[in-house]
Amino acid sequence: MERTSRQTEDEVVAPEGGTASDSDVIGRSLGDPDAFTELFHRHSGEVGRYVTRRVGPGVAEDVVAETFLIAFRRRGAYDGSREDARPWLYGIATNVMRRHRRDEVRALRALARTGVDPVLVDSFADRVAGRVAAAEISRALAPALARLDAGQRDVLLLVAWADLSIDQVADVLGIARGTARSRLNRARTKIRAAVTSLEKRDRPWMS
Amino acid sequence: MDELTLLAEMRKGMPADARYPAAHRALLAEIAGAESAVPPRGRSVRRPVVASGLLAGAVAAGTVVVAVTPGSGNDHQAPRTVPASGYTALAPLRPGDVTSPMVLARNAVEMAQRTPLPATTQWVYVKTSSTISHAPPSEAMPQVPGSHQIQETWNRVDMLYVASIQDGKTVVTNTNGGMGNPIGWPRITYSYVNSLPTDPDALLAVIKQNIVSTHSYRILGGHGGAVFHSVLALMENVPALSPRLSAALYGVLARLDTVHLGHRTDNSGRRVLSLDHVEGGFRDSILINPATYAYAGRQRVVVQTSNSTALDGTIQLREGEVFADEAVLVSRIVNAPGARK
Repeated sequence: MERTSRQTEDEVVAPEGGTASDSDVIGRSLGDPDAFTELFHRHSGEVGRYVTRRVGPGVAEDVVAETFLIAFRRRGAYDGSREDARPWLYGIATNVMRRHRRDEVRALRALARTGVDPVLVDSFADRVAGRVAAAEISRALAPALARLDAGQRDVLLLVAWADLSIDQVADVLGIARGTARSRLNRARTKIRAAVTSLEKRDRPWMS
Repeated sequence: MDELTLLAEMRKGMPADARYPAAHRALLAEIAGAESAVPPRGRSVRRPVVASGLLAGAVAAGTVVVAVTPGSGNDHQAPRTVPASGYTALAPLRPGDVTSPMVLARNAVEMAQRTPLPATTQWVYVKTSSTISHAPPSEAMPQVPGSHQIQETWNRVDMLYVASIQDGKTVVTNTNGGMGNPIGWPRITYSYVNSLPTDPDALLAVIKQNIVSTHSYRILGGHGGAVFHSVLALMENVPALSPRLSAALYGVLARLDTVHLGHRTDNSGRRVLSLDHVEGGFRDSILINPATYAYAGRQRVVVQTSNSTALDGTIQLREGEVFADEAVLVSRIVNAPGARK
């Protein structure tokens, strides 16, 4: 199928009439680079949300840009048996964000200290129902997140915020499944301790 | 509710339908390049992407010029506006004359006026030494005394490219025009930096305005602290600042009641000047080369023992603990990425 630049805004359709899988899109983009923009339209929002939650809106666009550029350059090595490209994209984004760990930790510590979430810009905040309760939870969890080993934090947040399975996390980070599980368990234990502390503080009669 | 569900709550404020037009444009430019050009073998030349934060954490500051071996090359391809010795070419002022932040700022202005500006196509080679921690996140935990991690980066003066050594090769990355957003600043580009006033009072007003417009006061802390940390963020992450702007930034700090002159030893054992700010049990120091007045690194040290109120109950700050110690070993103008002289 011939594609023009105008068609890059449209959804790629599989030959049999259904929506093409991500792996089909990537495969098509090897001969027709324009097709790769479909992947951007499908997933930049979700990847951006994950990135924004981790490092804030100030650098999110840069990270999203670099993530998709890296993906485009590496598309020839993509495993075509994986129809859903999101884990791959989340993995790239996670690696790109390693340059921003300092910003991430600063933001988490600021959240813990002030209760104001610095990664939530005002326009975002307006959309949040029950933001006060969410902010309290965020403030409670932030210090524990900030103190996690970076590898543990990557695994935990890919599960919690990117909705990846632990096997997908292991694949995209290039680590053994046992290592991924171990990191997740350790991270969850530390977060659980923070949650327990919060519950004891708010409901001291429980202890 | 388990911890994963609670964590998911933190994501609720994030829209999944946000648009990233600059990222889209960068991708289209990359695709256009892929369609119209045969990429050169073995070199990474064209990367039209926003590379904000490529230098975050990678560039400290410094001032101790040490002997390094020359890079491989291409020096003949760049103009030679500034010789290899760069900002350190001129005779130093007398550091003993520095008795206050204001005197430091004034001396820095004088030094800047005697320093030739590099060409926009020249590069700032920076070699840094920073401490590390075995208890991640490294930047938020006490550092291992005596630890050192060396990094080298090259930043083109016009901020269009950065470079580093990867697997023994010099890899140049297009920054898509800017150096990202240090906390408290809008997107840093060469034109923006050169549009900043060099009058400290006017520059202070711009910094305060930026802190508000970028919502950075939430991260940077109190008012004086916000200005201090905003200046630190810029100097730490953008090594291609002109000496004139650096001097103006010192002038800004000299106008803050919370900033004091100090004399410190960097992690390579060299004596440097510092501009210090104490807040929240920490003393943050911007290190300054006493001979050239160039940014020379940063330190963050606990000055008051205290227990953190963090919910996991494990954060304890002990007086004397070092949370950051970065020193610029070399900061020098060179003619090509990969060159060290």
